[in-house]
Amino acid sequence: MSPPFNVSVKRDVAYSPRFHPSSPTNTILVLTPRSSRSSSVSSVGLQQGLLQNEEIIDDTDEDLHTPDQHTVTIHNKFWNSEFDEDHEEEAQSRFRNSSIESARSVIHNKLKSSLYTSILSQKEVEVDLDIEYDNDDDNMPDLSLYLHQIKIFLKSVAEQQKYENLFKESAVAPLQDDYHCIIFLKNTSEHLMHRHKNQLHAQSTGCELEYSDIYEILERILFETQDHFFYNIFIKDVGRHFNAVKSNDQIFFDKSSDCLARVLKDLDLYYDSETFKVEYNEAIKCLKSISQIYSPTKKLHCITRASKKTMYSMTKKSAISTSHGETIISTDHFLPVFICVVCCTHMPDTFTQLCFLNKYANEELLIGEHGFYLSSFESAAHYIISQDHENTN
Amino acid sequence: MSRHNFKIVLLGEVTKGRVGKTSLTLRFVKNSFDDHQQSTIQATYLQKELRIGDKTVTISVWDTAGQERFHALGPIYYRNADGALLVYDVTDHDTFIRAKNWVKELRKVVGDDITITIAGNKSDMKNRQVSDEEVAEYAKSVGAVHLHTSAKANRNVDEAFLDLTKRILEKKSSAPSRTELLGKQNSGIIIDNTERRVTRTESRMYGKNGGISVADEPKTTQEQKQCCG
Repeated sequence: MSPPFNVSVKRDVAYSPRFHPSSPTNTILVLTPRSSRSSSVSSVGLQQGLLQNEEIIDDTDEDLHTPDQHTVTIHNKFWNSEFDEDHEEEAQSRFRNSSIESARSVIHNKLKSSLYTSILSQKEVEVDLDIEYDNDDDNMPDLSLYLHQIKIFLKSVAEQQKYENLFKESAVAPLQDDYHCIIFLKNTSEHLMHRHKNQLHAQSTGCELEYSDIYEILERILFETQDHFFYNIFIKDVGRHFNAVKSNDQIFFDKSSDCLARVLKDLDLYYDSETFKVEYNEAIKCLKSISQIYSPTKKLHCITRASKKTMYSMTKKSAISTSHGETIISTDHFLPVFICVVCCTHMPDTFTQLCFLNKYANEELLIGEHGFYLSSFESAAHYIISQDHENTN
Repeated sequence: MSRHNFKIVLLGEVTKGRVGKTSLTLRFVKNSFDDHQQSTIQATYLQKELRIGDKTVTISVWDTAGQERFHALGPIYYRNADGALLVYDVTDHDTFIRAKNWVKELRKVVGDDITITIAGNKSDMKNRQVSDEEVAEYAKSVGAVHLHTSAKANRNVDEAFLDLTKRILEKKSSAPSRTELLGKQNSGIIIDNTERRVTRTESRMYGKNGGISVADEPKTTQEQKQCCG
């Protein structure tokens, strides 16, 4: 079976004058479908891939979509701001690296969304992946089997635990099996990866789906499908079984509305509240959006993105040089600013979200970068509910 | 070849001066010392891949905020850490006292599972306030390793991280790795699971060392009270 389309990264674009770093958008990825049948499929997959990668990719231009060519427009975050000509050389090398990385991540997301779609659509082997199959039947990924197993699993968990009753406020059902969900996700991911290791990568680009990618896909199936049935249960459960979570949510919500000015002052950040909100608007908006996301992995991505946006804004306004006169952002610099960003989100369910992620997120990710920023988010939330109290007294 | 992923927290006090914990990591990960850095470097979280024998180890280095006002937030960062690098300034005895307190706290909250290295940074400076005997004896008494480092002179930096990673690896080598466990599985759904996984997942589910999932764990609840005033 030949791959449904070719993926190529135009490596030269970063050098071409048309793609001057100061231009806000740069086209760097071209996908060429082999047949019209696959073009619609890949277009859908591509869109899904793009949605997951919204930071780097700003938009796709519909007009450019011809039957035989998709062009993805990539918005380079580094060049969102004023361009300093003195640093052009350094900037260009940074740009080159980042655009190739961006392209890889698009392909990567494409692979993921293809697998997601194919598991959901229960199509046997018609996987819209750039995969070279050998003809040995034993090695074909039987994805419908996985879907079937997932469905049985969901059904049995729901029946056994009488999850439906959780929606009725009177019923208090201990959620003993919640960690089974996680173990199920882990084992299925491992199995899927282990068994089909050689098939889960795009030959032409060297992109590969790893354990955490597969985990993410299964996680999406669990939390995003069936009208977010499981998400709703788990998020309710978090509040139900950890009393502190609900009360902390309320405390955070109450205090974050009026403590920003005080926190800014306490942390030696020389801002008035309104200016801060404007300068860190991007990060605040991004962090706020986690309540509208259902998959734990995507929530983690969202927090990391908000943290990066915070650091980006810090460098832009050289907020850190006022205190230490240097350009390295360590946690000593980052945390105070991030505390204020978290304060500005003024979310009603901060601790519920945190608790949900600590319980249900992929624990491999919690060791890495996403875990770090989740911890920072958690620290910030704790700081706000405690610090304010002290001051009131 | 097996893969490992370790979490290492970086602890160091910030009071009058800075002990240089961030410079130490930057030196290790990027091999640079910041004198006139042109661009901004994000040093809150850094990771590096190491080869130790036939093993590939990825270490995630978590920088923590050293200011005293953030002290109560420490456990949120160091829970589930495999190793800790405690940095003090050899020219400032107070920072060594602080490092000792960190050890006590880590042992109390995380237990003996965490591997500790104490690094006396700025060892290129002449006016030392912390004697070698004092620190060596102390490190031995708490099962930690002590090293003199200098981020500026690039002395002992790689060694500090490598030694810590090796010791974590030794500690973990008795526990089975994921690939070994995988060999035992045959079908897609395995609700039953191995000991290691239950332990890890349960510790997460029931909030051991947790910052927020603490409702049914008395020790951490106390800490939370402290931090919530």
